[in-house]
Amino acid sequence: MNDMVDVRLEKATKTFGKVVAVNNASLTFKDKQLTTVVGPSGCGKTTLLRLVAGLETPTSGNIYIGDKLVNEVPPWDRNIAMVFQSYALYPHMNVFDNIAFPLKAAKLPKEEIKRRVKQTAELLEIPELLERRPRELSGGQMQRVAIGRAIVREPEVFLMDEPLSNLDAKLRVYMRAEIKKLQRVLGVTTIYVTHDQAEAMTIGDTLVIMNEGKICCMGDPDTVYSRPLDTFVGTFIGSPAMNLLEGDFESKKGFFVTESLKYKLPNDVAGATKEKGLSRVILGIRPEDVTVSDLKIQGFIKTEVYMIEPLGRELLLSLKIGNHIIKAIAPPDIKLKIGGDAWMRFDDKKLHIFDGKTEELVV
Amino acid sequence: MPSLSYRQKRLLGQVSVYIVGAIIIIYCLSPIAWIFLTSIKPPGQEIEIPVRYIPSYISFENYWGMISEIHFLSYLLNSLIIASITTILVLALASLSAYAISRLRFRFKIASLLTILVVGMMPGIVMIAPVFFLIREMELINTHLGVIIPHTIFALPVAVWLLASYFSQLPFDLEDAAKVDGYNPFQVYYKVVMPLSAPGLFSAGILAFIGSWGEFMFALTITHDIKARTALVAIATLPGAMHLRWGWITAGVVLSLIPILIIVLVFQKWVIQGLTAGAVKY
Repeated sequence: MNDMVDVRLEKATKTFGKVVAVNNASLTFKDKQLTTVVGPSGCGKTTLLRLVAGLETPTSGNIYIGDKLVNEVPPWDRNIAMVFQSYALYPHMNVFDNIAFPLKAAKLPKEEIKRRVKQTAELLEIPELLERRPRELSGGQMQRVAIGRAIVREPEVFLMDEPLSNLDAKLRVYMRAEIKKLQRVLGVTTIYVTHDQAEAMTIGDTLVIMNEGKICCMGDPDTVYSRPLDTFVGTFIGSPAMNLLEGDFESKKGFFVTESLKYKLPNDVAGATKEKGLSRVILGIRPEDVTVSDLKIQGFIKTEVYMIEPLGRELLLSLKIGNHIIKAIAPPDIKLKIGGDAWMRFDDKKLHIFDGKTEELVV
Repeated sequence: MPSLSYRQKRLLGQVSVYIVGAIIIIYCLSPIAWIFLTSIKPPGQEIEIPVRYIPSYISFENYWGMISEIHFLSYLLNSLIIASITTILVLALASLSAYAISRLRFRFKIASLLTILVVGMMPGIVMIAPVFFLIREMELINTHLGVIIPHTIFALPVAVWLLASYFSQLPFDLEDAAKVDGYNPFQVYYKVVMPLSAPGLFSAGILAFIGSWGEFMFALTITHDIKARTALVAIATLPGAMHLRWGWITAGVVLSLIPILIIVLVFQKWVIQGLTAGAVKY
């Protein structure tokens, strides 16, 4: 680990027949950072990772690891390591040989291999498993071995393709923290692909969102969450998803109007929307930014309680206004019943307005 | 009829399975047993009326006759050379093409697989004349290679199909992982794919070996003396215009069974795994 190892994609495109898996992607995975790539299934995130690994060659565009153009460099000549969703442990080798496999490829002396495998096993707390075969391991243990095989060679870039998706929920949360910690310790540029937006948010220093082969946005998780660049990002990141209401903007008084709702936008939001000269807009508000009351309060909007889903710590409410359903988070002690009335208002500081046509963020 | 309890029914079921199994085994093995018993009879006792099943004393004279007068071991050696080289060629060619079929994206993949299948299903007799002329043109009549070439051609289709289905079961991720771990495609094949498909390779190899060992028509047509003639053909063409030497024939059959028995016994564990492979897709 000497030089800066950025991984840079320059207008990288990969097509399979008529399917465009990765479409004109330009981005830089920063040195020593853990970047998560998240998107719905089939969005091209795994292909993106395979491009960096060299398992696929770009149809057009360039890929750089460090300063080196690697388009024509096969995977076995790139100093990268990859953890597969299926773990891909070699069933005919025991754990020691699995972890030692990349070192043997590098033709290291036997003593050195032994030392490094042992060291890696200790780091991952699996020294007692070295003699076992993969089929004798649990999912979590296989996962550790797969990570061990990746880190043992001290790669320049570390690629992870949904490494936690085969684990049960509890272990997943635990391993998430472990991977993050490990990445800090090793300080290796890491690209982590997942379809789980919560995992992507918690683990990543930087978050990349992909949809339909394109890079939608990139940034630190907080910014992406609080300032989603378009409605896709807004609804994809965060659970439960952001409420989106389509309506008209009345520029004179700064009202957001739909058939059943008329909402006075705060002055700064109204001003920015007016400046863009928009009439058709989408209002976005996250469920946790909707305040709900079981009593009538001045300035709150009357709604009908459509559904109550207890989440333990809080309630997830579905509130009905005309033909809109708005999701809201409320404390569990609120006194509401299905079919009854509830009053709500939006947190004006957390309101988002998107362009009704392009669905891009206005303010 | 008194009704049987569940346990009695189950017992009856098990017993009948054994009985049916025993019948099948006896049916299959009795000719071999008869051949073996005949081969160890002293001269003159091979054909007698009334039939004598158990020889009055054990004699290896028939074996001795085959070995010393017919030089049967030389024919066995011919068979062994032809079958072994055929097996090696089949495995080398079939595994490469099967690997390509299971891994690469290319046009006419299905068409090429079906073409291979058609060749495999074509009866040998249809090809015997053209193959004979070809081998003659190549001046390979009465040579090992002259027999090896057609044997390899006929064993390839089955081997390709068997191995292709075996390879396509191996997860692609393993090969990708090995590439990322620093191995080029040939090393990946050698270090990961080959060890994992050993059962498939064994069974394809044994099928090729047995096929070549037992093949009669081409071996008969292409060879004509001890220089290249195979054991089975040698048995069928034993000299003796007036009377068949049943003792010698049976001794030759027993001798030529031995190598096959050894191979199957040694590799049976892998063969069974390999033959059932590809049956279940997952």
